Amino acid sequence: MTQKRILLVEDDGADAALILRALDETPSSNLVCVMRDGEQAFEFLLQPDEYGRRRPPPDLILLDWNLPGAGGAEVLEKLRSEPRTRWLPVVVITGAASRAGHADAYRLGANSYVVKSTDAEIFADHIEQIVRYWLYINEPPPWVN
Amino acid sequence: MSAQILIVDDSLTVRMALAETLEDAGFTCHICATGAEARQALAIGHFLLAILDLLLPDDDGIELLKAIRGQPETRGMAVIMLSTEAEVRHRIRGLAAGADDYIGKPYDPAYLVGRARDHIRRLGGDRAHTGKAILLIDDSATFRTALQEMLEEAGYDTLLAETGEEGLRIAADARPAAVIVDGALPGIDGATVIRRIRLDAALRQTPCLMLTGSEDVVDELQALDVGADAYVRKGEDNEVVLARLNALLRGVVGWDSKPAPDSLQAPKRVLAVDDDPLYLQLVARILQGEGFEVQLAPSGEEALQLLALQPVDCLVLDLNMPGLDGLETCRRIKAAPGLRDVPVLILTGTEDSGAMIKSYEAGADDYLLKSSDAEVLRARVLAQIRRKQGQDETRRIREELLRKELEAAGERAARQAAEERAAHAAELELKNQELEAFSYSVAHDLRAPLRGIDGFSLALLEDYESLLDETGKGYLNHIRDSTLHMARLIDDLLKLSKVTRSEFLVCEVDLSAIAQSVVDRLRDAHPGRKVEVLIEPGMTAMGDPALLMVALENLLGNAWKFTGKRSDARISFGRETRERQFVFVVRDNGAGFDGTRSGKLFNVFTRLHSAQDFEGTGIGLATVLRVVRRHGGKIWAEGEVGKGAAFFFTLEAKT
Repeated sequence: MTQKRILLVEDDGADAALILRALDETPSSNLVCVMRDGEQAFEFLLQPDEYGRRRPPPDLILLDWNLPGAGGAEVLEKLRSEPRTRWLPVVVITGAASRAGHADAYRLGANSYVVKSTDAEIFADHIEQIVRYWLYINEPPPWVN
Repeated sequence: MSAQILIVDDSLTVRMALAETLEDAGFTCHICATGAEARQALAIGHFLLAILDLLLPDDDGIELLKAIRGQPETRGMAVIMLSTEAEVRHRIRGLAAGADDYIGKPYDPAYLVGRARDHIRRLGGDRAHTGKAILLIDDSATFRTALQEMLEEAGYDTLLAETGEEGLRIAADARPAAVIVDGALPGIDGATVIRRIRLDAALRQTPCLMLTGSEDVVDELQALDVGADAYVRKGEDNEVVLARLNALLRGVVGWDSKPAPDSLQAPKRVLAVDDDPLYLQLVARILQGEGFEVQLAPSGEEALQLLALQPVDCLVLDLNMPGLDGLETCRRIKAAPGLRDVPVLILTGTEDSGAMIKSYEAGADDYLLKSSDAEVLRARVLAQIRRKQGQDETRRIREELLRKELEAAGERAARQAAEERAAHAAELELKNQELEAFSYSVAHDLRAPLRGIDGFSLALLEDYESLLDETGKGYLNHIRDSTLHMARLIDDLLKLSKVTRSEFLVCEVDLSAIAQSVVDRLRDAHPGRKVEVLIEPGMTAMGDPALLMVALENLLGNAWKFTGKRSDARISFGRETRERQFVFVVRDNGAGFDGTRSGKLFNVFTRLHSAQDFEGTGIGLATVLRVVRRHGGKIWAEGEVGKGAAFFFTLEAKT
């Protein structure tokens, strides 16, 4: 199976480590880039690398909703307004369930919304299932690349 | 329609004259010559006012009066006694028997009409009549007639006066709905008329419209300055006057709703006291010529008796009298709180500077020799009455100012209280929002480290399984259990705070259906449990469905949990009667609790069972208590260890 590229935007080191561990359970070997905030994420997505090459877009973005500074909502809004990132699947991950946050995320164009469970098993399971869905079951449309 | 006024007098001339006077003033009258006729008329008809002669051929006026006051149907009517007996003792008899007024013959027709109107107005019978009357003061007969016709066509009654003085008298008497006054009049001018009306507490509210032939703006400003409500030039169409008048009357709200105080322009009452009847008659003649109503008393004792029954505006008192002399009478009057403001003028036959000093010491307001000229007496009495009027008016103005001050202070206080309430509400709202934000961050930030603790414990258990012995794995499992308990505590505390803060929506809630859905979910979550659940069908209550769901989740969840060790678990939810009131009750046959501790059950973090036996956070029942309290209800519990528990609650949702 081809290697999948995942961009994880998460400021909490522990959560990032747990998500990375859950991603190991998916069928492919993934290339996961972890960015700590929206600024870093957009630099990675839009700026050329040190050799002046454009990086290929990721197959999936996992976006923490409670990022420092701008916050997940602003990052999502910008992702949906950039031509290069508009069609990328984005899964919003949030620490606390809130009705308003849930509605906001979908209104701004999230593809899924996952609440981080305190129960490690449930949490790992949720991440694994949702990533499986977006990477393997729901292939992105051909015109994205 | 029954007549308004019953006239009883044995003299044909008197009763015909009375009837004519009163009917001219717009009243309807019924005339009787004897007491027997009067009693008959009273038995059939309904009257607002009776004018009774004191001495009747077959009956005493006083007896008739007593009969009127003795009957429930007639008790409330007004009664004016009319008699040639000007002497005070008859007056006292009449007033003591319940007469509202006492008028001596020969009477002044205008005064009589005024008194009659006052009494009928007091009883509410003359509102329509005075309500529409417009007083028109103008010296030009042509103009008066033209305007009168137009006003009457428009549905107003009119009262006409040629001069300012006459106008003021009529105004005091009839209390018109509005006054239209010409600016230029012989004698006192229109501006003065309006100024006097504005100074009179009884008339002050009357709208005044000033007419003038002048085109001068300064005149208009002056008119408005003295208190006119509107100003119309005579050159303008009379329709303009009518329109202005209509507008003025629209603006006056409740002008006839409260009894007005006595008018300043009303005739003044003077009480003369002297043991010499000849001198009394002389005083009466002098003062009646001035338009005063004069009452006569032959002694100080009778004067005091009369004063106790009705007020007077001025007292003319003889110094030397048998019995209570002038000085003592004066002292007693000046010592009585209700009477001390009445001016007392002491008269004496002999010039004696000692008596004069004593009189002033006794509180007399003036001192005069009987030999003085009639003009002097008249002038002195007038001066005293004017002074008293001034005092009364000053006091009234002071009271008015004080009342306005109090009203303003009250308004200020109310406004301040409202502002404080609003500020308080805003502060509360802000605090609520802060609390909301705080709860959210607590939920988010307390959970995040727990996820790390649990996640890495699990990672150790799974990824390093081969490196750990059973004790090490056991420790990691303890870490995971504690983490899970902590997460539940956070969730339950959040729910508890939501129950207190969330919006409260009241509608009819089907409790039976909610309970059934809760039990269905419990069965789904614990498919291995066998529990007999009995829910009384059709139980409804007024309340907030979301909150009641939370309450039943906790109560039924507890029952489910605490029956976990029984194979014959039984739970019921129904209604029972306690103290003649329906109460809801959730019963189970589970582990129960020590009944003496039931009071502590609803405190946060109270747990009556060990975590080993039954896990829990100790927040559930505290949440239920808050839900029930928000519905204005009560909750209590009964239980016995090993036998089960019962939770009772009432709901009295406030809508």
